Amino acid sequence: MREVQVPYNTDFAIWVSRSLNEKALAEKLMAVDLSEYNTIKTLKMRFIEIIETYREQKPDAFQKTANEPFYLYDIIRVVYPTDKFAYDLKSFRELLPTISVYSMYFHFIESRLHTHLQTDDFSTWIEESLNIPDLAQMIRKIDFNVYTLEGLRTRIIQLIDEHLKEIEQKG
Amino acid sequence: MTAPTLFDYKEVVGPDIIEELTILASHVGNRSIKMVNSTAVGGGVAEMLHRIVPLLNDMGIQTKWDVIKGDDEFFEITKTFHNALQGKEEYFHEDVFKTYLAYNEKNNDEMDFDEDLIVIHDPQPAALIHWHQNRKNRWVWRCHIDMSQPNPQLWSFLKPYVEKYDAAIFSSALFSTELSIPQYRFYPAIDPLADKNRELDASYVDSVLAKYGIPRDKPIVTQISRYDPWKDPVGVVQAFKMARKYVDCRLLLVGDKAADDPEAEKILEKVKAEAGDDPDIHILLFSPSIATEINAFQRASDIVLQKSLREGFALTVSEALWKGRPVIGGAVGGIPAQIIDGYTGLLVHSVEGASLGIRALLTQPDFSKKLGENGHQRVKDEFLITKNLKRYLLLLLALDRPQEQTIFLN
Repeated sequence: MREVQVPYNTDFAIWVSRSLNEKALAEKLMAVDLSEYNTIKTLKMRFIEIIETYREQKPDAFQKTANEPFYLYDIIRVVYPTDKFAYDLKSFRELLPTISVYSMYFHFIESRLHTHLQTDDFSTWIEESLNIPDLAQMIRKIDFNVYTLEGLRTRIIQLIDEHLKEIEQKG
Repeated sequence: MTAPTLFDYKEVVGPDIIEELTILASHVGNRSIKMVNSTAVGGGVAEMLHRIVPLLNDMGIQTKWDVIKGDDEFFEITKTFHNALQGKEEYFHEDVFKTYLAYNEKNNDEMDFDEDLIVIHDPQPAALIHWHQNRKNRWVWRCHIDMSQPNPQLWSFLKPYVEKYDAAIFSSALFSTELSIPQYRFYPAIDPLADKNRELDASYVDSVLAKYGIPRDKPIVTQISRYDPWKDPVGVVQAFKMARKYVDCRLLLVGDKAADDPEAEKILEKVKAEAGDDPDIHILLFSPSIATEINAFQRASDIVLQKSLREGFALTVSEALWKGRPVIGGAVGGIPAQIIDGYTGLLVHSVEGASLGIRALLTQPDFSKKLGENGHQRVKDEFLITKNLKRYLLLLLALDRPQEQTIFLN
């Protein structure tokens, strides 16, 4: 759904909004900044805290039956290397339009759950391997909560293009 | 015509998807699968197996397909099983269960199950597992029917067999039921190279429309569905008539008629009565229809409707979306999985909603086009046969590593 209507970035918020018609709670869940959480446990605790606070404010909401049940899925993630690689900023720029949105999601959003860092794989590589801290910082600061994955791709490409243009002009 | 190879799909789904399948297949390695169902021809399951089995073999997964044998007695029983598992009231005598088991046992004696993964499709062969409780390979039950409200008597008989499997696969969470084994979701899929979906020359599309006397002078709104009350063809005519006060268009209703379906005749009469002598309403009845002609009707349509009141998965929606058509669908069964309202189509709950949808789409061509494009992409991501190939590869990986939440392949 995040591909459809940002900032509907969680299924929970969509269900709370559509099936329970608790718009305020949905907004509170959506406003959680996923970039601040690098473990599932802390993210879960934040959601529980929001729901419990809401219960105190609006106990009636907890008496409602939803229009439709929420079917909870478990996910098995399969992560595998593709045959794509970048060796400098230019080749990275050329690669970006060709990778899947799942690859975008993994490297930019989900990987922090594996690395336990508060940053994405792209800016880490740009900072540590290419030694371009300014660009890395700009990419790291992108508010991915309000972008679709395609929008995110476009934004990163835009930042890199601006950087490459600057270098060329200085050139 | 020879069956398409994986390479043939590259043209329609793009090289990235084929590349991904190849990479995953290399990680799966030298494995084998056996598919078992109850019919070699007819029905969606056999149709899909005809395509998916050679493609799995193309990827290096040695895949065989066996069909269980039975006579009329057995298939009469399994037909009642099918309906009862989808919720029909029925009482089963104990002998029926004995007969069902006897046929399963006989088939078991005649078959071998040496492959790494055995996929048993639907209830007919489900009890085969009974004779393989000390197995070394993995067995999965792929259920294609809606099991959300199974007949309690039948389910209490079948459930212990199903729960002996390593896992079950359902087409949607809506169709699944509580089980003690892991469940996976495999959406059903369409084949972009099948006659029903492949690209057609514009001249062929024109010739089909001309053949059935349908002028191309105004936008065409189409529903392709059996004449069945749950598909609401009468509601479609009503919605069309309401919309046409605002937008000029034609309605095309296309339906198949089963040879022994008196119900369809009655519904058809009601549809004709509702349509009256309106020259802009075209009602076609086939027995059976030709796949390329159905394809042509969809491609010639400005809007495709699937205004069902009750549904299975309704892959006709994916067929239309794949062709970039804007689709208006009833919010039932598997339709909401395919149509994200306002993004990949429009979901409606009433005749009035459908008529508003027709008006909105015909007066806003840019919006219609966007829905069609998004719909095409959604089908490409989720409802194509290539995605099902990927699901089988992932299943092989997941069954090998039952404890792992994230499988890293290096």
